[in-house]
Amino acid sequence: MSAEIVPTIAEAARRIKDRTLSPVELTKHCLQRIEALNGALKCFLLTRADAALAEAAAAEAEIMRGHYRGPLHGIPIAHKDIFDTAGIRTTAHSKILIGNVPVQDATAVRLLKEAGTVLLGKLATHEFAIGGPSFDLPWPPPRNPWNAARFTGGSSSGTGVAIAAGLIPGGTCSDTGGSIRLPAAYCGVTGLKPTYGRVSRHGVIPLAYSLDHVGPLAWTAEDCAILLQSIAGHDLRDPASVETPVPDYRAALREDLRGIRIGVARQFFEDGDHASAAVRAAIDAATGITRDLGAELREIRLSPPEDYGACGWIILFAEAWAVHEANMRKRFNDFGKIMRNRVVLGAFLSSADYIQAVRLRSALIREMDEAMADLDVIVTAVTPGEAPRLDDAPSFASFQRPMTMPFNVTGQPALATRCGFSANGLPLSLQIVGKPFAEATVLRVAHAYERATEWHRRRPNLAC
Amino acid sequence: MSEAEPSMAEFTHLLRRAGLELTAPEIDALRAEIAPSCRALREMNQRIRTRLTAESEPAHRFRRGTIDDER
Repeated sequence: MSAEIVPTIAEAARRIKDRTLSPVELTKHCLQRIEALNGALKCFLLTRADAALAEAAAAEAEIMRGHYRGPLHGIPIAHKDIFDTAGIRTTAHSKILIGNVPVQDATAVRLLKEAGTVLLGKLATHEFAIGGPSFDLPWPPPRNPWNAARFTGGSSSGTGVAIAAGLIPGGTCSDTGGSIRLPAAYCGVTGLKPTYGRVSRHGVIPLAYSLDHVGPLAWTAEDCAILLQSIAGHDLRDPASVETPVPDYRAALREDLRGIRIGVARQFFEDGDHASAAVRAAIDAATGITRDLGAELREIRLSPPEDYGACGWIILFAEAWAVHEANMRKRFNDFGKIMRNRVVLGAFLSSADYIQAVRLRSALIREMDEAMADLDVIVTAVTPGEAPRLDDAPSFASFQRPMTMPFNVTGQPALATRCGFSANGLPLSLQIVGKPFAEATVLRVAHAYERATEWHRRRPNLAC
Repeated sequence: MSEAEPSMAEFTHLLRRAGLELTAPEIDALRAEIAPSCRALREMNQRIRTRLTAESEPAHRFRRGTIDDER
């Protein structure tokens, strides 16, 4: 495997099933790449080489005995460090939890373990999934493999970096205002925020109860489908979890785009010249490709993204304060400055502020339902441009016009996949948004687009 | 949040009400650091209230000619 980066999950699964690739060989390869590159990329907070090799050997033995569990059997992955892992330190990238060792796995961790994955370690995040990129935490922020001086996006920054750099083929993430899709965009990978309630958040350290989503990040939409298949489903231990059938996501990928109705939310990135010319051109080119593949396109207008942003951020800060209130009172100075300066805003909100935001949320969900009545998906941009410089990462005051938060407010599934590169060689990204619980349609559109383009063939140039 | 920029006394009161017992220099530093975020939050609150008023008050819907028999 020495000449390869890391195969996709789908490709590795095919080779493992055929016994042309051994899980131990694949795990060793990932560990070697982590050893060589993590010093510069800083995406792993913890690695467990011996335990991972033992798990890979167990998977290999099981497959040789004829018990093949499915496409994640023997696949090395890693978890964002807000997912509880029994007996393995889980810190939320914070001094507050530096000695925290959970006794139980998060539901998503357990399901991926049962699917036969090999756990390589825990991945960097913005502190408690909101405070970053920060240099005053126990670990530094990860570095973008396309350009180390550029922001990785957050908060699932470690997962985005590790996949883009070919250290792992996939991993887990959470998304409260864009934290799966933003690192997917800035690191040039594919990330899916499923519908609110589709994947259990049990055992995942919360940021905002009514906005938090758990989902996969991987190199391709097909790999996201494989990961989602194993973590989707009802869980009584997450009060927001919804009991609804889980379809065969990979089966949906076999369908083409004929008959798919796409609404282009151009206003989100075009009004007021919000997005760069490169982003606008990339989105135009991407929608043109979907049309060539048989989709019907039309433009749609929604409420201004600022309305969704205001609604989402007020709810997020009020709920985040509720999560962190006790520790903020006792250990204010043990949090990083970015984290505490954001979360403390929730203490300044009134109950009326929160209620008004919740009222607006109902109106926005209704508006979105009506806008999508005769559509299958909406497409728009993920970010206004390429990854900014790490020392110029956006402050909260600039968050008022978000492109990702609208779909946390509505709870719809939303996926980010690369759709071009800027003149500086940095990835640009397309967002594909579906109706509630229609992840299969979102994945189908993303997969068809990825197969019709070559962007996923480009990898960061890393010396290993 | 109040409409106007909170004075130092109001800011300190808000922190105390939230149970945050910070020293005077810490309060000074925090106020300076989060002033732009507080302004942004205030604008967001105002945007929400404006939008809700325009959308949901029966009098506004009457003036727009979209009042129905929900009342």
